[in-house]
Amino acid sequence: MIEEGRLVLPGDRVAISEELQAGEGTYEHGGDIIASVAGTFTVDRKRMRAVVEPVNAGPLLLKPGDIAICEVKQITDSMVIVNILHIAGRKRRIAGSNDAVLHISNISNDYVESTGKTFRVGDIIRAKIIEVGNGIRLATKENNLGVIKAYCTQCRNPLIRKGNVLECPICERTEERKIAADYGEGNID
Amino acid sequence: MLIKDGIRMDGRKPDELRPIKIEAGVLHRAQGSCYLEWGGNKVMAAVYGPREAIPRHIQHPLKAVINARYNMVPFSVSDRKRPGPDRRSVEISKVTSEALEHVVFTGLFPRTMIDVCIEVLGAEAGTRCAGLTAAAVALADAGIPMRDLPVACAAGKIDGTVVLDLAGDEDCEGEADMPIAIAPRTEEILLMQMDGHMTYQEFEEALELALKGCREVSKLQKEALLRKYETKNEVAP
Ligand SMILES: [Zn+2]
Repeated sequence: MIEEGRLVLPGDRVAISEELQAGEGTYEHGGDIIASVAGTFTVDRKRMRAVVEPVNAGPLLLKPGDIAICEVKQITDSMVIVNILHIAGRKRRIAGSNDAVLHISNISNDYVESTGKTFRVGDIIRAKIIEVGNGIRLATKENNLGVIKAYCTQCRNPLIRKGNVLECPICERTEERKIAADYGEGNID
Repeated sequence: MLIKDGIRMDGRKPDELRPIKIEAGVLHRAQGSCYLEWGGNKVMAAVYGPREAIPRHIQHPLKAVINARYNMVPFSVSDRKRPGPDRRSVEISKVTSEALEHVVFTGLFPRTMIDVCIEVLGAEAGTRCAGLTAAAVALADAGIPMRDLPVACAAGKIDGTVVLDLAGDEDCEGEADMPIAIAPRTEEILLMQMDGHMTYQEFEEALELALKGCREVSKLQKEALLRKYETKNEVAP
């Protein structure tokens, strides 16, 4: 194993597989652990993995468990189609398509009568990525997931939370949503 | 006469490279970039992406598509060439894309495209090797995960002698030119082409020489990247 903190480049051997497993920024080949990006070599001691922290922010890879901030683009009977705007805790741009799908069965632990009673086009939502392989799939079942900002479907004014519903301060109409616990607080990380 | 008493017209020994200068990360608008001078060749490589591949029919559902575009700018050769891709540029773009696809972990970025723009600003001989070598540095600079940092170099034959890295006149009047690209860690060959004729023994000698050249150029690529990141680390608080 090479010295921790050293700058390495793609193709550089950082350790052998008897010492460490391949973590982020590395891969295993023929018993060697090799850097796949330019960066600083470190050891994740908890999981005994070799890691290369990239020196330059490369493309952001989405993975299951990531929390995504999204804008609702389209709603069908069984699906909510969104555009991922940001991944919580990360500053980098997302590689590839940002389209993701939230199926009606993954919206809430409670019974969902129709997708339109949980989300509307233009809503900003927080969702958890549950699958990336075959198109990005999301879920919003947990308490902290759901709509974090929504607009009145009539006058486009931001809605304010009133108990379990959202209310428009201008036209006083109330709307239903799957609301995140911190609705309206503007947390995106 | 291209070689006399073991010395070539530009003063090099048979196994010597032309002077090479590599600088990583020169363009700010690209995700990664590299400027390279190799003899009379001047090459700028820039990497954009991975981004969603458009039009969609060029997308691969399981991996990124590498789209290298080799372009000689019109003032790069003495007899001004017509702008736009010619057959030679299209061919070089294709073999470069294929060589790079072997080292990039394309499976990490399904349905995307990685654009690698190689602009030849000055051309002598061996622009495809110079272009691929610069593209590799630009990909590393862009933070694109790769198995290895590929490198290219040519060997060939002039006046019956096997030599490394043919220069302009040697390329025009020589008997053979053989560019190769390798993944330097394993020395796996990513690209090999041959223009002209060599005996099997000459071929083996040329391959050995080209591999030696690749190892030397690989060192310069790595130095260029480390130089950039080491200075960057010093500036950071
Ligand atoms: Zn309203």
